[in-house]
Formats: sequence, C-alpha cells, structure tokens
Amino acid sequence: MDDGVFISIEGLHKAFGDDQVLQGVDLSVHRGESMVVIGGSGSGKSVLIKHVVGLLLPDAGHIKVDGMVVAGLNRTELNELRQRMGMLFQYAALFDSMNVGENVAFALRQHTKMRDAEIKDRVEEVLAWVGLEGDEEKWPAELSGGMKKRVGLARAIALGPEIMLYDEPTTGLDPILADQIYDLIIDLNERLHVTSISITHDMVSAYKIADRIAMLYRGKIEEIGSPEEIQSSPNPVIQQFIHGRAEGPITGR
Amino acid sequence: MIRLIAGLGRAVIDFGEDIGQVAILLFKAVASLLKPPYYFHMWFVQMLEVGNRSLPVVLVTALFSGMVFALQSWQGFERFGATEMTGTVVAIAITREMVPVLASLMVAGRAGSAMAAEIGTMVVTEQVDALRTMGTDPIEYLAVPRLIATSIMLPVVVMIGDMVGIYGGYLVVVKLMGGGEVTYWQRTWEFLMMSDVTSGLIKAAVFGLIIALFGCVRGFNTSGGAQGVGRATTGAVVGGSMGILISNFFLTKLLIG
Ligand SMILES: Nc1ncnc2c1ncn2[C@@H]1O[C@H](COP(=O)(O)OP(=O)(O)OP(=O)(O)O)[C@@H](O)[C@H]1O
Ligand SMILES: [Mg+2]
Repeated sequence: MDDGVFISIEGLHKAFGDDQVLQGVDLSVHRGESMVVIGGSGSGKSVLIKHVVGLLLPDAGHIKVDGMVVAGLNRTELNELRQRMGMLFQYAALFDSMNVGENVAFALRQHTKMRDAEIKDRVEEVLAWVGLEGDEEKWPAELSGGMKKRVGLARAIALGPEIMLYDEPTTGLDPILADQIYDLIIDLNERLHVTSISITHDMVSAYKIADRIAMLYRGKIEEIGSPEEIQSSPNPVIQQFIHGRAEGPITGR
Repeated sequence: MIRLIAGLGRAVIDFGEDIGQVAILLFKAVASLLKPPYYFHMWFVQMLEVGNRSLPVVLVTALFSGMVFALQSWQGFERFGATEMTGTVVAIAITREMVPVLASLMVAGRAGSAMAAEIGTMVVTEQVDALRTMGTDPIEYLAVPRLIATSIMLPVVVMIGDMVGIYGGYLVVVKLMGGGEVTYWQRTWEFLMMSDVTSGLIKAAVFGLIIALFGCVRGFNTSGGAQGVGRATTGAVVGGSMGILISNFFLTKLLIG
C-alpha cells in the first residue's frame, strides 16, 4: 500500500466540557507525505495530533494508522504502534530528571537491544542533526526554549520512526536554526520516506516543508491543498490567515 | 464553623473518590507485574529515595515516641509499684502500634507528598504524555517502582525505628528515672514476642503501599499547572494519612485475629 492512505482521520469530534474543539475533522495523509496543519491559536491543532498517537480519545469518529483503529488497540498493540511514531511536543516535554543524552537515548534503551556504545553513537548522531553536538551532559533546566525544542526533536527521531508528528517544530528558534530544522524535516521525508504531520503558524515554513497544507478552522478542515493551491485559494478565511490580516472573516471585521 | 464542616465534608468526599482510583491503580499495577517489562533500576532508585527521605524523620519520631511512652508508663506503674514492667509495655507498644503508625504518617508527609509532586509536575509539563508516546507505560515506569519501594522500605525503616524506640525507653527508664538497667532489658526481652514485631512490620508494608498509592493517584490526576501540583501534594498527604489510620483498625483486628 505504498502511496496509499497511511493516516486517516474521519469525522473526529472532541469536546472538553462545553468547549467543542473538534467538530468533524476529516484528514488523510499518504505514506511518505508531509502534511502541514495551520490554524489559529486555540483552534485545536495540538488536540488533533494528540489523537493520532492515542493520547486523547475521540468523542466520535476515528483515527486509523496503517489500517489500525488507534482507539481500538490494546495496550501492547498501542505501545508497538507508538514505537513507530515520533512526537515533538509543543513545549518539548523533556524529562527533567534526565540529562540531554539520557532524554535522547530513552526510547533506544527501552525498545532496542542496542549496546551502550551504539546508543551513544546514535545519540551523538541525532544531536548533531539538530545542531546540539556535545550537549549530552546538559540538563533540561539549563537549556533555552529553542534548545529544549531541538532536544525534543532529537528524542523523537532517535528510534527512526515511520511517522513524525511535529507540534510547532521551529517556534522559538532563530531564522537560521529554523531553516536547518526545515531541511531536517524535508530530509527525513524524502530520504527515509517518513510520513509526517507538522503544525505551524509560520507560513514560510508551511510552504517550504508541505506536500499539502490543511487549515483547521472552527473545528473542521476549512481547506486542503498543495502550497500553490492554498496560496491562490479564493477562500477569504484562508487569505486572511496566510496573509496575517487583522481584518477579515476570522476576526469578523 | 460552617466553613470547617464544609471543609471536612470536602475531604471525606475527595477521600471516597480517591479510594476508587486507588483500587484501579492497585489492580493495574498488579496486572503489569505479571509480565515484562520490569524497570528494576527504577525500583532501586525509588527504594533509595524512600529510604533517604524517611529514615531521618522515622528515627526522630521513634526515639521520642519511645521516650514519651516510657515516661508516661513509668508514672502510671508507679501508682501500684510496678515500674519494672515499663520495659515490657514500651517494647510492645512501640513495635505493635506506635512506630508503625507514627512513622508511616511521617513518611506519608515526606515521601507520599514528594511522589505526588514529582508525578504531578510530569503530568502538567506533558512528560507523562511523552512517556506514553514513546511506548512506555507510566504505570509500569512511574507507579510500580514507587509502590514496590515503599512496601519494602517501610518495614525496613520501621524495624530500625523499633530498636531506636526501645532504646529511647531505656534512656528514660534507666538514665532519667533511675530504673535498673538489667531489669529493663530483661523485662523487654522476656515478654516481647516475635509476633509483636512481625505484626508491626506487616502493617508497615501495607501502610507503605497505601502511601504510594495515594501519592501516585493524586499525582496522575493533577491538572492546572503549579497550583494543581500543590493541591496534589496536600491531597496525597491527607489521603495517605486517612488511609493509614482507617486501615490500621482493620489490620489490627485481622492481625490479633
Ligand atoms: N486537556 C485539555 N483539557 C481541557 N481543554 C483542553 C485540553 N487540551 C486542549 N484544550 C482546549 O482545546 C482548545 C484547543 O487547544 P489546542 O492546544 O489544540 O490549540 P492549538 O491549536 O494547538 O493552539 P496553539 O497554536 O496556541 O498551540 C483550547 O481551547 C484548549 O483550552
Ligand atoms: Mg498547540
């Protein structure tokens, strides 16, 4: 099923109390595709990708990954599926009881039979990819926001996942570092055929890394298409968002 | 007054809600012990942690409990000239009741609250979610080591506490009240039964489990940032202490048989 649908989200509803966050999201991501989800702050982007790894369970609708319904898996199956995914959290979520090296090595120690020397090499390698070579001994509390983000990214890719979920991978990074991270994301997609969903507010990065862009608005996917299609979309909601205008249908002005 | 009653009511309701979750956590923990993975290094880390956190407070508690109890008993026995029995009474009370209960209450304040704070912080900063996404079960990785550690370490520190408590009684009887040294030890060993000590240690193991259960339940249920973590720690101490005091009655009934 190469190039077939790898992640499919169908009719996803999620509410927290009275707060209807997702109200019927439909989204399919093909194998090896780089999907970018854009949308306003608080529109439910983080909530959406947390459903893909099964951190949140749908109120209605379902998510299939590689043909399996995520919410229907038992504990062992879910853990096996999760080992094939990497997730970068919006606020990095580093283990603060472990140093950088131990954070990155965590999944390798848990799920592989790699020897210490091999783990050390792999940790060095992925830290170099995110521009943090030699920072193994530092502690999360000593890192800047952007460094935490990159350690979180290194930790997520360490196990060589088939699926990557990036929650705002470059927020808090300077433009040059951000560009390096985009290159890394593109590289993982192209060379290793990783399937990914990235969340971003930054339209430049969206155009750069996306095969397709989907906009989440009022609990649904407002529009989905290639970067060119999104840029030339006549939809006033899309136009207001991608050009960052204060006036338009989103703000009701 | 009304505020006080309302607060009391709130505490009782919270405790009732916790009980259900404690039972679920216990069930999941036992189930996960039936098959790998086992994070033995985490068990070991937690045992050291619990030991380090509780030994100092338990020693102080035991020493002074023994001393106070000896003082009270001495005075009581003096009324009918039976002060030589003080050693016996101190030994029995210390090993059966005082050290297991008081030490566990202290450990609930030290280790139980620390567990709720650690796990609670991991919840609100999404570290627990990160564990899950990496295919590691937080119950196996965070809860089980803590449950094991307190159940094993509490009997160990209580055993040491027993000795220190009896020594505290000795200090009061022999050094303060001028009782006979030989009599004190004779009376202590003559009547102290193995079952006095073991029943106290069994209690300690159960209390240890209760402390960790409430610490973990409150930790995993933390929501709402730093304030939530604060609520979780108080909840863990209150819940753990109530659990100890209430279960103590049933355990005593069971162990006396
Ligand atoms: N665990 C939760 N409990 C209650 N409400 C939640 C929870 N997680 C998210 N929400 C709510 O869901 C809505 C969407 O949150 P989400 O984090 O997905 O937004 P977002 O699109 O990622 O925003 P941002 O771009 O600012 O990160 C918000 O109103 C938030 O308050
Ligand atoms: Mg978000």
